Amino acid sequence: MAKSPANDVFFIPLTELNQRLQTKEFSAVELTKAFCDRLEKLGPTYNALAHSLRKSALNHAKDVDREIKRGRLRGPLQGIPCAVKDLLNVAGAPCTWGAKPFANQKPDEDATVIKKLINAGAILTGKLSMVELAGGGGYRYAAASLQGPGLNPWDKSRWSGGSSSGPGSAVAAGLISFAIGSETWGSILTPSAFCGVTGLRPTYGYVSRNGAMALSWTMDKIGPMARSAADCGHILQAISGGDEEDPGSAGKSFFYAPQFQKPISEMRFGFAPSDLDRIADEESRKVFVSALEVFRSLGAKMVETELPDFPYNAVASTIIGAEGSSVFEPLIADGRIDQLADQRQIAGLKAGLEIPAKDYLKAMRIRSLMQLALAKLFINVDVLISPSRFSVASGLSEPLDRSSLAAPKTNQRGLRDLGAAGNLAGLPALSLPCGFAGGLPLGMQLVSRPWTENTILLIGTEFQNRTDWHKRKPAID
Amino acid sequence: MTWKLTRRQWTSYIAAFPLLAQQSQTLPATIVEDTDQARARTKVMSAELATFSIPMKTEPAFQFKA
Repeated sequence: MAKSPANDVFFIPLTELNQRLQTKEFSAVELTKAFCDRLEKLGPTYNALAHSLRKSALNHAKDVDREIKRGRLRGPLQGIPCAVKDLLNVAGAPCTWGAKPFANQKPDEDATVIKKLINAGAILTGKLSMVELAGGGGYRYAAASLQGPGLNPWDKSRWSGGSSSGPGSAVAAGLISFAIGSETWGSILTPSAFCGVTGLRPTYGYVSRNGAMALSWTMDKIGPMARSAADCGHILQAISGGDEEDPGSAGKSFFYAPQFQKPISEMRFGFAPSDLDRIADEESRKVFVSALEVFRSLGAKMVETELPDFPYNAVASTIIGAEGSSVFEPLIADGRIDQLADQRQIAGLKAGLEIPAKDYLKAMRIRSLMQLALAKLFINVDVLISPSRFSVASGLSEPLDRSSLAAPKTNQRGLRDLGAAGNLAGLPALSLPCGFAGGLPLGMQLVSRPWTENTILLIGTEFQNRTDWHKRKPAID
Repeated sequence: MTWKLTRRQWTSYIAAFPLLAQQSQTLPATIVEDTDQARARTKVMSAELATFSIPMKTEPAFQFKA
């Protein structure tokens, strides 16, 4: 007879969880109940839980147990408890987008990603908090969310990052095995770095956005946040694929097969020494220097590089500002925008309506050139490596637009705008936990050319074979 | 694809900076102040984009594909 899962299940890789389900060490129902209990008990203490889906999760878990008993195996996600950012539609469940004006919104159809997760046998235990409207107007405070500020499990006086705040906290605290987040500009990588979890931003077009809140049609991506690079690979395989309901879909499926990549010893890693000058804190700088040494020890050739000269931040801000304000134009027009929690965000969305067409077009034209220039850069290197964020998580009450942890200015471009550049060009990125400063996690990002997730996942897995940062657990209340 | 500026572009670029300088002093207290600052940021971005010369044949990244 199966017994209740031990406490170690909350922090182990999903492949191991799946294996233990198959050997009937515990059932999917027992595992789901254990995760639901933990998510409901601890989720609110981090402001991470938007809505529990316990009832439907337990029903689904019963089906999974029956399937496993019959030998109907669906792959590594089968029976694994997970949760999603509250911008993905789950039929009949609230979908607030983290914003008061949408507090009572209840879609009647699942998002494509939800259908794919269920088809893979994953158990959806809840919806996780997020920055209101994914922060598209630019927000000043961590509290810009219907569920309150995302609290960092490593230190509850610090922010968990945005806009996928709940996914970051929930994975870090072991409230779920993995989460699905989204990124327009930094929303997977930032909370992954701040919370010490592994986050994968897939190539634009790999994962359908059908049934997800739109912020920027040309920049929105959906991706996993999990315990390891390998876990991210398995999850992406399950959720990727063409979808005619998403005009941005590339019609491609991802197959997790890092073993077929060229050896790391034949790769070239691009990095910029000047990136380290952007780190204000000496302890953090030492962490990144050590992480670069680990990458060097993998045998790849380290190549000094820098991004081509483009106004990345102005282009990204203009595109997201114009598209986001267009998406939420009805909200602005009827005045409900004023119900948002963050004054700066309200102002930003309103001002975005005034971005001239000439600026949007100019930004999109520069973006075309940017893509070409970045494609050329990747002729010389296989991946780019840079800090995911240049500092640890900021304090909860600290204005995010004037953070005391802001990076020092340097004249050298380096890879400092890799976040904007990578998102504008739709490039995949992987954030790996790489150490701690002042007890808070730091992350390193790997960025590669489109459709080469297996490359960064291979490198990420090798990095995690040599380090244990991704296995560290915060002290849970 | 160069940063060569016309006199008019320089004028608009330089004119935008005092707007940002104003906003760096204190946190805005009202939504009106925040809206003014958001507009100022838009103008600064606009000026920065204006300084970037691109060939006529360059089309916008519509139907964006990675």
